[in-house]
Amino acid sequence: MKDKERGRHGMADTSHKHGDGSEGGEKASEEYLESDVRVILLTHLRGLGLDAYISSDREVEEGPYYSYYFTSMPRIVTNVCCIKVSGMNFDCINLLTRG
Amino acid sequence: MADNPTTLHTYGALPFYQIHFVVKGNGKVFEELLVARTRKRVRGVISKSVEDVWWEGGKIAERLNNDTRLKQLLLTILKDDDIFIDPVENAVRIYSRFKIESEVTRHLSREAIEAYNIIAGHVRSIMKEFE
Repeated sequence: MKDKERGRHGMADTSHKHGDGSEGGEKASEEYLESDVRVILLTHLRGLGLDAYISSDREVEEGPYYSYYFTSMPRIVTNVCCIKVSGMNFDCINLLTRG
Repeated sequence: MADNPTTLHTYGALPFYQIHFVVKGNGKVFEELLVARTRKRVRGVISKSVEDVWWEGGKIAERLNNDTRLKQLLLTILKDDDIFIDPVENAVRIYSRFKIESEVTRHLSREAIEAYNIIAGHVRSIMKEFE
């Protein structure tokens, strides 16, 4: 119980519970650490009080991602997701991963 | 065996992420006005403190430099980072450097979101003005 209060290895608590399978008359639930970066980011944005949701936007997601005016930007990137946030000046948040 | 430039690396995507704040519109039309990046003066090596932040680039850099609230926010959020405004064909992308997987959300504080929102507002106003 104390381990749960401290958090796992000092990391942000992104654990969730799911399933309500009953074993021997007691309600048991499975806890897991969220590893999907999209869900982690979405949960973080909602935690900041923003109305955010994952949405598909082909125009943004298919690129191009860089103009290469700034030379340090990578050549190979992969689109992860597009998150829309209502009430903001930007149209969406696009998450990219390197490689 | 000849190298095929279209072949992707076998190790796949790396755990480094970059968050782009996208303002839609033809950025290429306004690229001379909108290309900009931050520069900063930092004191200290191990415990860094940002003493001054300013923008370099096109017309938008003047406006961003005159925004006192934005400067105040950037002094708190830009420790070892920079913000780039990059106009591409179908959008204007505002982003900072790549972050490792565990630090993606740590850098995205309430102040950072507000700063990106202010920058996007300036981008949008310039795009409207020079349309």
